Formats: sequence, C-alpha cells, structure tokens
Amino acid sequence: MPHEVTRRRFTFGTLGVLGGAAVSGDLLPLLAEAAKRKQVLRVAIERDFETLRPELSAGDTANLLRRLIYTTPILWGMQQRPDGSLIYDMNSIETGLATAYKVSEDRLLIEFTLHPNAKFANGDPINGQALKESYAWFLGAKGSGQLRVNGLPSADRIEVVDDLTVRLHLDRPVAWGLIGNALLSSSSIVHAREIMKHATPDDPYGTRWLETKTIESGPFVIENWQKGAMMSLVPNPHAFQSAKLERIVLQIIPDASTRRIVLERGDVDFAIQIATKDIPDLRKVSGVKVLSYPSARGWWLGMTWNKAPFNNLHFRRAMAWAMPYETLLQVVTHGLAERSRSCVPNNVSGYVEDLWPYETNLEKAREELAQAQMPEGFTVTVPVYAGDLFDEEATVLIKESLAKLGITLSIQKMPIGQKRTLMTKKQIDMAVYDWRPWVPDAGYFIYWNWLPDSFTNYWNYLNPEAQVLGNEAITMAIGSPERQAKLRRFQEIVNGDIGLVPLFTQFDNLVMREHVQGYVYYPDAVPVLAKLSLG
Amino acid sequence: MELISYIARRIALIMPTLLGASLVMFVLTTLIPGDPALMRLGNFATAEQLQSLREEMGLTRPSYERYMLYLGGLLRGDMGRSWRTGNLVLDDLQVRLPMSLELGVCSMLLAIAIGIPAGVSGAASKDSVIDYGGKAYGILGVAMPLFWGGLVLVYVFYFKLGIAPAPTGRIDMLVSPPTHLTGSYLLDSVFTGDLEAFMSSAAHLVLPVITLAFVTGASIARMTYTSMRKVLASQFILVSHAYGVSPRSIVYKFALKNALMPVVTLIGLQVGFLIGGVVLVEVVFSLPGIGRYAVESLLVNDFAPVQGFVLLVLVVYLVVNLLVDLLYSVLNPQVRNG
Repeated sequence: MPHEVTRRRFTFGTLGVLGGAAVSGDLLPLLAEAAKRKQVLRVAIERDFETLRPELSAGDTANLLRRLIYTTPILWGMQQRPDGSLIYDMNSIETGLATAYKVSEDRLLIEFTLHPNAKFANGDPINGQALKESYAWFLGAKGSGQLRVNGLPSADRIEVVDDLTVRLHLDRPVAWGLIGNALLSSSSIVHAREIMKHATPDDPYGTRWLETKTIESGPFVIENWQKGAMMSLVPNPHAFQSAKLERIVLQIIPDASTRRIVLERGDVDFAIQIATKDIPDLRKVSGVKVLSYPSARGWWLGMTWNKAPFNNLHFRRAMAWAMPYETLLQVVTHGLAERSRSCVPNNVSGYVEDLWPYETNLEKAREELAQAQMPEGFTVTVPVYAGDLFDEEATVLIKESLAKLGITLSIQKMPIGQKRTLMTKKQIDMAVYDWRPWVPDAGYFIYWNWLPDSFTNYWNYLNPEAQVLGNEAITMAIGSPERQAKLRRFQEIVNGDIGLVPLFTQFDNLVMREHVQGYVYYPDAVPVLAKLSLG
Repeated sequence: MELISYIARRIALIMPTLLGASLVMFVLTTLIPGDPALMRLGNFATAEQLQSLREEMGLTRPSYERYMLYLGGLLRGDMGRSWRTGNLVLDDLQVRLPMSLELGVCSMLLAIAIGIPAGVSGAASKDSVIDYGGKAYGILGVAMPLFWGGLVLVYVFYFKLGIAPAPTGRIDMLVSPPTHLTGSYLLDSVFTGDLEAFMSSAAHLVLPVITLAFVTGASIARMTYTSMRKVLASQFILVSHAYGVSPRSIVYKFALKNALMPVVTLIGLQVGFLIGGVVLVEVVFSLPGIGRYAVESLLVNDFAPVQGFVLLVLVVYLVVNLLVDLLYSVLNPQVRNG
C-alpha cells in the first residue's frame, strides 16, 4: 500500500532525504541492514536471465539460475582437494531428488527411487508421474534433441513403476547415459502439468508462460525479479533439502571491472565472470578468496577442411609449428591455463597428451609452408568476438607470429552472435574459439565436435576411421580399457590430421569473499549457490 | 494560429520519418549475419532443435513478410517481442524508460546549471582565472571519454574514498524499491514518502549524473562562452555601458538573453549525445535503462528491442527538437514572425 502523501510529509521528507542523501551516500541503509547480510548472499552476475525455460538455457548465467530453481534427480559427487577446496568427483554421484539409482549392466535401463517428500513450490508432489510428465514435456518442447542424444527419444520409454520409482528405457547404451538423463539441463524437473495449463494452439507446450513464470522444483524460489536489474530468491518452503541461506540476491553488473571492485569493497559476496587479468591482483586482496580449478574449457585454432590451402596437411602443420604456445599462456591467460596437446581438452576422461609433437618453431613452419606451395602474400580473414579478451589477444598474438611467415591475418571484430552463426554455417576459414563439454569425457566432446554431423564440427572435419572410432566410443562405458584404447587411436588420427590446433585449456577462477563457504566446482563451472553458506 | 499550423506540420512530418526509420532499421538488422535461434540455444543444440526454434521465432518467413508483420504490429502499438527477455518490447521499454529519463533529465539539468554559468562568467571576465578555468573545463569535458570518466569517478569516490554507493544499479541491494507509481525511483519515493528508498536511489544517481553532465555541460559552456563574447562585443552593449548600466545587469539582463538562442539549439542537439552517453553510463553503473537494453540485445542478435529503441529515441529526439524550435520562437519573436 502506498503511504498517504501529505504536504507536511512531502516537504519534510524531501528536505530530509535531500540533505541526508547528500552527506551520507547510502551508508545508513547499509548499516541498518548489516545484520541481515549475514544470511543474505549477494552475487554479482554479468547479465540478466533470458528466460525461465530450462530447455533453452544457454550460458553460465542461465545455468546458474536453473540450478537454483529446478532440481535434477542427481548431481555430481564431490571430493576435497589438498587445499581443502571442493571439486566434483567423476566416480561418485550425489543423490537428491533421486535417493537411489540403478543402471543395468547393458546400460539400457536407468531406475530412480524418488525422495518421498519431494514437492514443487506450490506443494504438489514430485512423484513418478510428475517426473515422467517433466521428461515428456522436454521431449515435446525444444529439449527433445538433448534427450535423444542421451538415448531417450520418446516419453513411452519412461515407465512409472509406482509413486517413487521411475525407469528410463534407453534405445541404445550411451557412455554418459546416467549423467545426460539425470543431471544435465534436459533433466531439470519442471511442473509440466501446470505449464500445460497455459498451452494454446499456437504454443502447444505453454512455453510463452514459462518465459517469465514458473513453479519451481529446486531449492530456491523467485521472490522478486526486476528485469535488467536484479533477482532475489528465497528458500523453497517445500524443498526436501533445507537451505542455509535466507536469501540470494543476484545483482546484474554488466561491466567486469565494476564487478571486481564491488567484490573487493565487500558490497557483494560472490562475483561471476571476473576477468582473468584481474585474478593475480585479487589473490592479494585481503578478505577475498580466489579458487582456481583446471577445467575442460579448451581454446583452439580451427581451420576449414573445405578449401585450400587450409585443407593442405603441410599448411596445417605449419600452423601447428607457428603457434606461440608459451606466449599465449603467459600473456593471454596470465599463466592461468595449461598447455593442451590434443584434439580433446585437458581434464576429460580419455585425454591423451603424448600425441602432439608440435612446439613453437618457425623454421619448421617455414619448411612446411614451402612444401604447401603457398602463394605469396597470403591473407586470411579471422573473425574475433569483440569483448572476449582471450579471443582478441590470442588472435593478435597469432597474427604477429604468422606475419613472420608472410601470412597476413585480417582481424574482423564482431559480436558473439555473428561469429557463432558464421561458424555454425561453416563459413569461416580460420578462427580462435573455445568449447567446454558439460560432461568431462572425450567421447562426449567427440560427439559434439568431431563427427560429420556434429553440431559444432565447425570445420567440416571428416576421417572415416576416426568416425568409426568416435561412434564406438559414444556407446561404450566410460573408463573401460577398450574404450580408452579407441579414444587414444582417435586422437592419434585427428592430431595427425591437425584437426584443430590446441592452444590451451584455461582454468576456471572463482572469486568470492572469504566468509563464503561450501563452494563446489562442477564440470560446467556453474556455481550451485544453494550449497553455499556465509561463515 | 501560425504557430499551431507550424506545430501541426512538424508533427505530420514525424510519421513518415518514423516509417522510413523503421524500414532502414529492419533492413539493417536483416543484413547482420546472425541467427537469434542459435544464440538462444547455445552450443548444445541439435539441427532439429534449431529449425524448430527458428520456426517458433518466425525466422523462416521471408523478410518482406516479417517487415509487413512488424509494421502491422507497430500500427497496433506492438513493437514485437524480445526473445531475450520473453516480454513485449513495449513492456520492456516502459519498464526501463523511467530509469533513462531520470538519468537523462537530471544530467541535462545539471549540465545546464554548470555549462551556462561557466560560459557566462568566463565570457564576462575575459583573461581572468575564471576565463581560463572555464576554457580548460570546456576542452577537458569535450575530450574526456564518457566510459573512462565514469570509471574514474567510481574508482575515486566509491573504491578509494568510500563516499559514493556501490555502482550496482538504481538502489542498494538490500533496500526495497519504492511502490511503483511512475517508474522513477526518485519521484515514486517522494510521492510515497519512502525516505530510505529516496536516499538510496538519489545517492546511486549522483555519480552517473555527474559523469554525463560533466561532458554535456562542457559543450554548453563552450557555446555559451562564444555566444556571450559575440554579444558582449556588440554595439548595444557598448551603449549600455555608456549609459551607466551596471555590468551585472548588462551581462545577465541584456547579453545573456541574446546569447541564449544558439545555446538552446545546442541543448536540443545534445539530447542525441545524451542518449548515446546514457548507453555507456548505464553499463558502467549497472543501471537498467533503455540504452543497456538495446546494446545487450544487439550483441545477441535480439533485434526487436533494437528496432524499438531506435524508434523510441527518434520520437524523443524529434519531440525535443520541436520543443526547442518552439522555445526559440519564444526567445526571439523575430523567428516566429519571420
């Protein structure tokens, strides 16, 4: 209810606040709220959430919210590093909505036992039927592609045994079948029945309603969403796991340097997407904690296989010899990365690093170029995502190095949307880019990047022997010796073809105030804020 | 009567201008090589998902059909839907416009309050410290990049001295916004007597307003100075001195009124600059205004908000310049009569 406005209140109020604001900034409210802050986690995020539709969530910010408002049957297990920080464990699974799970030996059947007290934010039970309806909704809406990849092409493959037991019958074994169907975004549990109430002939899955409204299944519910400014969340009163935080405030601060200074000053507790160049300095700041984790986010120089000279093996080898690997590590990543030596990123299961003989050697690069019979004064246009320091700086350093070989790189800056579209349409000859698999497995990376119909096989790479090996690795059990052998052979072939030039695999650096406890690093690098507490 | 006919003619011209602008914007955004569906789905999409989303977003229709649909929507007051926010563009702009207006109006008022006195006092005391100070400000203000200026202010007054609030938006994170009446936090908090919200929102506006006003005010100061110097050198000022009119009256009563006409024109033109500046300032200070909305949309190929932003800015620009022209005729009746 608005306060009643009287002339006296208006006059005195205005005079008072003008004077107060002028001299005190916002110190008073800060002091007044100081006590509350102990239970309130304030997080600086880069941009607003585009949608509450989990099947469309793209980008770290959207995934951060998805983990707060939608539960999944399971989560990665975790382990402690020697320094006490927590990291995911590939060999263990944390139960949640699913209190137990079974995977059959042939990996065609996954069975979940659900938590007996699991409920949506409106109090409706998350039982076997609700789980099936959620998967069915995904299969009907835009999430079907993801589930099909994971061996679940239709809802009739979901069997509700009873209220607490659900079985997924996969159409083929998939190496990451359990994780793909119970942990990734397509297994976010939505209240499908509620969503479908908003379906229309034009919108048969009620997605328009879900853009901005939802019934949460996760540990937190949206309390207030001021588009473009902030979102606050409070614990889901029906969640089966209790939260330590009373409230989470996600404040949109688009400028990276601003995010850094508000964290340094203690005006936020956690900051997402801090520039890597700021990390060394932030380590020295009292009260700030920086956690660095070796990730699977690889950076590559890609070259098309569609036309000369890029499809000439000698040219590709020349590029591999010409890359300034150490300079890239020191200048671009400030040492916060590790050298990559394969066509799959470091820190994934099946990565082999002894099959890449190339170091920076311009003499060898010249010899290879001579054999490639390159035309004089060769120029190649390289698109760069304006605003991504890694992309920009790496391309500039590569340009300098190639200039010594007589190759001119013409850098074309563009927004990420343009670059990604051109890459997907396979219209780029050469570019620096990055890719992070959500499942830290070489086979998963191969599925998305190296097969002829892979969505992000931007360079049209094709090698029949590698294709057979890749397809086999997709279906075999992760970690089996036979699969490891196939993955090794795969990398031998693709590295021999110089399918890509691996530049480096970056670290993920998480920056927070020292009193933030309980952070766990997961392969997608998305913080699970619900696990945090303020010490 | 002539004035009314003049205003009617100007308003009539706005429609074809907007139509032309909508066509140019539509063609330009169509030419940008980007796929909004791809941006929305991210890296882990399949070709089937992509095609399905393209159909849902209407991207598979021919360009002319999309433009006609867009135009039809505009006539009904529908600027399209932003896929990034999931809202109608008009709704998004309505939510964000009060923030930008608040920033723009406060900045312009402060710029005028700084620029005109600086220009007048500089011109009135030629070759003095005030004169040189004013000139220095004029040069510095025009040369200083807005983005940089904002960052410096944040660094000094927030980070180092700790006397400015955190640049985290319109209001402190732990203060509730005032009850929504107009969308302007300043006005709404005054109308509802919400002291805490007023203090916080006013404090959060100080640095962004100074950043914009410093640069805008410099242009006004330079124009005022030049115009004043010209007027002060004219015959009627000399005669006024000879008649013993006080220097204060000469400057503020006679010279200033005559010198203001080009300044008023400049202020109208500065609205365009101010809107451009608002975009940058909104990013530095995390303010959720229309400028940031447009930029963030453009970066991810969400074109409906960009088209809506351009049309809105164009309307504001045309209206402000119409008002300036009207003010011009008030200041100088010769213009009206001529």
